[in-house]
Amino acid sequence: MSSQPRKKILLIDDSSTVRYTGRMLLSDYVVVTASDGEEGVHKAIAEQPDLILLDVVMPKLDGFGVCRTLRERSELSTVPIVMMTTRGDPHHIEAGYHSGCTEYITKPFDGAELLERIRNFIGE
Amino acid sequence: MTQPPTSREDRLRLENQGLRALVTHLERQAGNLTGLYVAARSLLHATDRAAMLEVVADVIVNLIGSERFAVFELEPDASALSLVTAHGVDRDRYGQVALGLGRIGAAAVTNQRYVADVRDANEPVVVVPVGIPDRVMGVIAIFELLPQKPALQECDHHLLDLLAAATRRAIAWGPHFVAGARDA
Repeated sequence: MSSQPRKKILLIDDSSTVRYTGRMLLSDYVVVTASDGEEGVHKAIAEQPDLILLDVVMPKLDGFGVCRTLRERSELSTVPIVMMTTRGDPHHIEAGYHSGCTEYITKPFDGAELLERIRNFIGE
Repeated sequence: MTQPPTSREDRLRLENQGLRALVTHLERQAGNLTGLYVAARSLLHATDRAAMLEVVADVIVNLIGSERFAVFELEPDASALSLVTAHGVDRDRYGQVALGLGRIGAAAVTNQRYVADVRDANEPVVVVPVGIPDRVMGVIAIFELLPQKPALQECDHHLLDLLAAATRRAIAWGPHFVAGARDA
């Protein structure tokens, strides 16, 4: 059995349902949550997660803004950022990648798909 | 020169593929059950009408997958449905719906859930009566699923069952009720 410390995921979403669901689904990881973009930026800097799950439409600072802000920081410039959003049109997807996200998945997300995407980046 | 796989290798490869598929299936089911559990707990802990309807909206957006929906309640004289809350829907157009009119009004009369076979831009794709078996108290109407959500899944119907029960409580509570303690 592995004695490696668990990988840390930061989940930034203004939906309490998504945060709660994420914490339960991602029980193999340490999950830290934030409920808006500004809090998300602060927690990303403080927690130095291995991966960030990021909603787009949020109060105070949207996901695109969070992504751009984090990419400006050297210690967070390469952390995988997976945008999760209801907006699946090509315009928003392109905007997501432009802002610096690594991956883009649409809501409602499939639990198996989400886990597979995360494992592709940071393993179990 | 590569050797052809032995039958034992083929068998192991097939077993592995089968196990991977099973794990994926189970993780998908776990995700669906997690969503149901989270929705149920969140609804249980709502202590007033506004909070309950906020959770209902959150579940519809993030778990079912719609950004155009509305909740209606039956007016006290049972003559029509009045809009309680709406998301992405013209409130002026749907402020009041006559019983029997369109899919929303029809569901309030028949007390039967409606799921559209054919999408109509002017009518909801899902209509869920809210109430008890012999009395409709309101309706949840979903006007459009997100483009990436082609159809409702079985788990979505279970979520809608939860939301209907929660909306029934919210309607019964009325706009000024605040639960002092968790209801039995």
